[in-house]
Amino acid sequence: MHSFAITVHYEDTDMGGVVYHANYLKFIERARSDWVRALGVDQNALRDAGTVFAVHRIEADFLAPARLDDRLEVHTDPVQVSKARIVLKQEVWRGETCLFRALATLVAMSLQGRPRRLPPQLAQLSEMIGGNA
Amino acid sequence: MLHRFPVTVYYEDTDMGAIVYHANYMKFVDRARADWVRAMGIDQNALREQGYVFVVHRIEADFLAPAKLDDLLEVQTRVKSATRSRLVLDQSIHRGHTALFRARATLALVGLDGRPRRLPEPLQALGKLGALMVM
Repeated sequence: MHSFAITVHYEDTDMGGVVYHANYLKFIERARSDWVRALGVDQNALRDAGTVFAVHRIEADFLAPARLDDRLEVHTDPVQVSKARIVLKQEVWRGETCLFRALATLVAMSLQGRPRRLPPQLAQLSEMIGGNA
Repeated sequence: MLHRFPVTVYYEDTDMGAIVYHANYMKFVDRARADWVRAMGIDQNALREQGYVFVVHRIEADFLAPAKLDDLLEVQTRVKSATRSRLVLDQSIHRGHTALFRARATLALVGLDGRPRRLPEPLQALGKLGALMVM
């Protein structure tokens, strides 16, 4: 499991006094970027070669609110991997409490929007988790 | 009943893939919801002063095709179902005849203490018509 730390800043909150819901998607995206970087994927180089990641589907449950100054942790786990797509389970935790849970399906595509194979560093994860999306 | 809300894509909405950053679709559909409840006579500032805010409980979103800079988009919002405490909306984003994004959002009203509250009357009333409105 990959773990990524986030502190809630003023800019993350809304007038409900909690983290604005769409910002959880940014938090888990930061965690994904950190995760692929750790796997050796350079997204700038990938883009220079004409490939970018795209989110294909997200199912998200907002379980409890996060607030200013909260120290959060994003947990990222691949659950399904094929040559063309990867499904990640991502959760946001504050201590022992899970605040947010999502399943994110990602694909790689060309800058023209055509599907591409995932970088090998990701595709080879299928051997580890035995997934077949 | 269908609510339509126009959105133009600006530079700030895009990412290095030269398309709209995925999380920004959530902001677009949120703006459409705010416009929709305002049109129904619900004042979210007044609601908050009384101690209530809307929260998103769940979202299922499909990203079908990318939007780009200067695209003129339309957010379409329909009520899927409504109960006293929960509202389910089907929202989609279109560019012309092409659907780019589709989401089902479940909303609730909570007190500032986080406890669930009854939805404002105009929204509860939608539930009674719900069966008629779901396409």
